[in-house]
Amino acid sequence: MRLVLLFAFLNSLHLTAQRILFSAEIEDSTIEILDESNVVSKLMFYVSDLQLETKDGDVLKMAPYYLIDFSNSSSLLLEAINPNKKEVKAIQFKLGIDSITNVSGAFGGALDPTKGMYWSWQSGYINFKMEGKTVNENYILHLGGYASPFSAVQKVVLPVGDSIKDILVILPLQEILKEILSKHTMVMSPSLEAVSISEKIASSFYTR
Amino acid sequence: MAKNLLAFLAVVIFLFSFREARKVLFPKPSYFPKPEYNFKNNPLDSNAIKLGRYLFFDPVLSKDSTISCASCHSPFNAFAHTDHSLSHGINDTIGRRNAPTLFNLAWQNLFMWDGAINHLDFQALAPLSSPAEMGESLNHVLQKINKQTFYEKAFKAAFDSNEISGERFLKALSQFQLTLISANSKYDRVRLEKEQFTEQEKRGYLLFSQNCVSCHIEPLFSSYEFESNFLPLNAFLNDNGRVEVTLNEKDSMKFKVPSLRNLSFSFPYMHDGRFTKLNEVLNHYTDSTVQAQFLKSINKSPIYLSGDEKVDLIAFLLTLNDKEFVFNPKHRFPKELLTKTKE
Repeated sequence: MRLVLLFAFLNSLHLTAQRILFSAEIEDSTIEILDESNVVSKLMFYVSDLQLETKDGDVLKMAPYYLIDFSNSSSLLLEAINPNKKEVKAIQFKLGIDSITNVSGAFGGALDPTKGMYWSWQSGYINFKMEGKTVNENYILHLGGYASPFSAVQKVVLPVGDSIKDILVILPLQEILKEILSKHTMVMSPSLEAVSISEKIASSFYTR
Repeated sequence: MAKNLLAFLAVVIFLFSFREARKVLFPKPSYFPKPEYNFKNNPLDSNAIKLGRYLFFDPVLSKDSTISCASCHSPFNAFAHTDHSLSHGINDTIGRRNAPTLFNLAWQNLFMWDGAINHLDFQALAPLSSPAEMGESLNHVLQKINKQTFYEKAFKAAFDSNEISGERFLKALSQFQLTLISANSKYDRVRLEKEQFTEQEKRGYLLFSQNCVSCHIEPLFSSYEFESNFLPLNAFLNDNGRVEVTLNEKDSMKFKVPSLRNLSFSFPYMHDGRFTKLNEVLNHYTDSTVQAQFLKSINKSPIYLSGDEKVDLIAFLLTLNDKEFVFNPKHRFPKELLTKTKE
């Protein structure tokens, strides 16, 4: 079974402006999914310092912060800033918000604390939020933390195969769900646990 | 040529007026250190300060519109809460900690007794959403005030646009709180050579300098670091302090060092408000069991004070009361809020 969550439309014929599309998948499940719509009821994460590396060695910087929210399909599609239509060989970003931003006070836009990605009882952005229900358990992952040793922000570097088409960045949820089922169903504060799950999630992104 | 010169002068005057405006809105005493707050991200503006003051005194911030920031942070108590040892929230809920004083906030990086909040801008989020305090959510408060023309006008005046965002709401609250500068106590006037200490106050100052200053650093009278106060854990409150944030055992039972300014207005004392008199605090720190704990800790020596010395020390501590700050009409409930209810 291959399930692409809240699929946003990808127009592969659109060649003039390269775009980046985030997507999440659950593949060939060993988890018994009782109700597909509830396995993942919420999936939001921050993508910051997004850059495209071109084949001639240029680095194209995009907006500093994006909030990817799978309940809002338009947030999954990012227009690349590539005015000279250079060929892209890699995409890199941080999953989450860095320490400096975390200690620099209130910001607007994607970082506005009304977005539901900021803790109130303790300062800090929630880098990654995923909620839902597996076989018989609700799970809540609110992963964040900016101060050592609980800094949860992760760097992601991915190769881009076809440099002309839109870049599809995929987060396979299968591994994460397995991990959640086996160990952690409730993670909602900065901790070593949050850091290790964040590492796992960051390393599972791939491009197509 | 003359045109260029005129343009240049205009720019100079503009920049100068910007600096002057900051000086008027934020009169930093010459002997205070550089503020920690980054004003570049939130430049002070008289209309934004006004808006922040409205929000600070408006109970609309709480779920049932009964509790405002000022409920636990009264200007007449140096923005602490005198009647209660622990903070008092909606539906008569009682919190876990003693509401701290609010002044000289621009010189502080970490807030709350355990430092859970890392920036003044975000401080308000915690009481706003705590079920034992205001029991609200930022989004719902914004929804409520979005419907009020009073706030529509106030936000427009402060930010030149109608958008009411979380960022603006929090920054306006910061603006008002940044203007709460306490720097006109007798101590300050002595420092500026406008007044002199009495002989007793001088003796007290010497005792202070020998025993207290390592944590209560002048002129703010706090290091704003986290230290053990050697109070035994209150099993009912089970408050372990800083360790709850850092999860580092060495921070167990450490609490943020409070400023000693305005002590006469801000009792009860300590993180759980267990002492109502300064004498009790001094008796605690000179208790033999606490002296033994001081001996065990690094860089701290025990405090030994005779009865007379305690009296002298308190005489000095009372010179840190800043009546002008506590009774400043600019810090009080803004009457404009009353016009809001008539809408």
